[in-house]
Amino acid sequence: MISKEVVEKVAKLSRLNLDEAEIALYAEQLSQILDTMEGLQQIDTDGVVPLAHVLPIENVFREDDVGQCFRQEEVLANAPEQSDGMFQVPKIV
Amino acid sequence: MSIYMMKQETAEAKAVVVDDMFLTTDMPTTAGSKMLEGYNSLFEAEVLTRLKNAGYAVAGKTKVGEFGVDLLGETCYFGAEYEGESLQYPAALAVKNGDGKAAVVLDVNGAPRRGAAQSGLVALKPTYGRVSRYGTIPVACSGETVSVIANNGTDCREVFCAMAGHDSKDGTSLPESMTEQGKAAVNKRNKVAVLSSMLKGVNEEVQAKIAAAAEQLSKNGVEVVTIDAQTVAYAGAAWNILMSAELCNNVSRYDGVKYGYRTKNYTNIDELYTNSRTEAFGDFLKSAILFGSETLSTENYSKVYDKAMRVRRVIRDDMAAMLADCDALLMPAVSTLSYDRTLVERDKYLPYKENFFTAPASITGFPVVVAGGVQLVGNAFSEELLLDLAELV
Repeated sequence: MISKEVVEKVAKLSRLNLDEAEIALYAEQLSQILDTMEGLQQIDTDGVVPLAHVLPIENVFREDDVGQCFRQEEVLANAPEQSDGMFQVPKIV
Repeated sequence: MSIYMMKQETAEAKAVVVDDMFLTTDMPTTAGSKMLEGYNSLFEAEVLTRLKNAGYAVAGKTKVGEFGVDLLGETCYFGAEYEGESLQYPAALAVKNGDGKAAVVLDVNGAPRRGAAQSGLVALKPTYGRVSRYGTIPVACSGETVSVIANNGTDCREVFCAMAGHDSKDGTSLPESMTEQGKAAVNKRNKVAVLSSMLKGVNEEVQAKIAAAAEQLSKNGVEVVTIDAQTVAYAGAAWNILMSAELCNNVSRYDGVKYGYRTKNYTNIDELYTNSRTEAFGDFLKSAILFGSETLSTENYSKVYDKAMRVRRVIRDDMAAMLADCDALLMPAVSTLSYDRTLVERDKYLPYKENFFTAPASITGFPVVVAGGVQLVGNAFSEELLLDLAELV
């Protein structure tokens, strides 16, 4: 069973605000989902190496050449707020 | 309600539609989320560049559920599509309407396969790494695959061939040498195995589809056997963990600073981040974020996340062993041929349950063809063989 405190902690880490009703709801729902995962413990994985990726992926290197670049105004075009050619955020320090 | 985010006239004879998970420069890209409403990409997905070079025009962008993880699009911020009380997959409707030769879609959690199975269309999810994911919205990167839905296998094949091949811009794209070796190693066995462990919870209509597909294959000289493969039935549980964990990391980039939705209600940077995300993400996505974050916590990492990665290897190895002896594993794609509105609205966790059927191919990266309402999952690089089998069912 996942407690309300755990949901509150995870929500804070995920930068999400939840009200009391949502916390209770998610606590119950996350518990349900985690319960179904218990089934996995029935599969014997002693000595099995975790498989993060289905392919034998290797690091890809390339020359550090300048490729396609975007103009400042293009990069700022999707910004919710901008000022003097910069992304605008509230004062941080 | 339109099935499109945007539709455009095309002069080209050959057209495809794409879903709203692909970056486009002439139309906005939203991934079905309020977070990306009105977002205009500066570059386009590699597959669209390749399709255009092959003479295809893009006739429109179909709606998707928020970040493509739901059943068929019911969590789309811009509205879900129902026909009567039956939930519909927008990309499948576009193909049925004849708006394009095919729909090019991102299969994150099986939605395209469910849509094709319920609409009687053909879908191809290729081997992981054969089609570039450059310029697709990242969600569950270790499994999501660019896929094709069309009226028949021939059209699927044609569009797939126009997109496939190594792309140096995608770090998970397969080198041509590996693809060539893999294709050369595919041997036709003329044998298909029905996985009895995957028939759990399907209704009579779907059981009939499985029986009909098996009969058609037999009639055409394909040996059909039944295998009870218990581990494969755990793919859904393992995939839910891996998918949610990857999703929670991938959507952590949406913070309301450089692009995407920004709340009006903030006095400091923490409120800007938190309120932007809280106001823009939908309930189902939030639950996936919370679940993913919880599975990666110190307390759960080894018991849940690490375990899921080990189970992934067990399933991959078991399926590869079965596929050494037969051409495809026959299994349902869905539990029912129609999702009723009341069920969808009541059971918010249906996508976590219904992906029981689609997760085996998602978690292993094996190719799969949907035809005749069923799935045929094959060994890596066996797309051609699967499309040939699809002609028979």
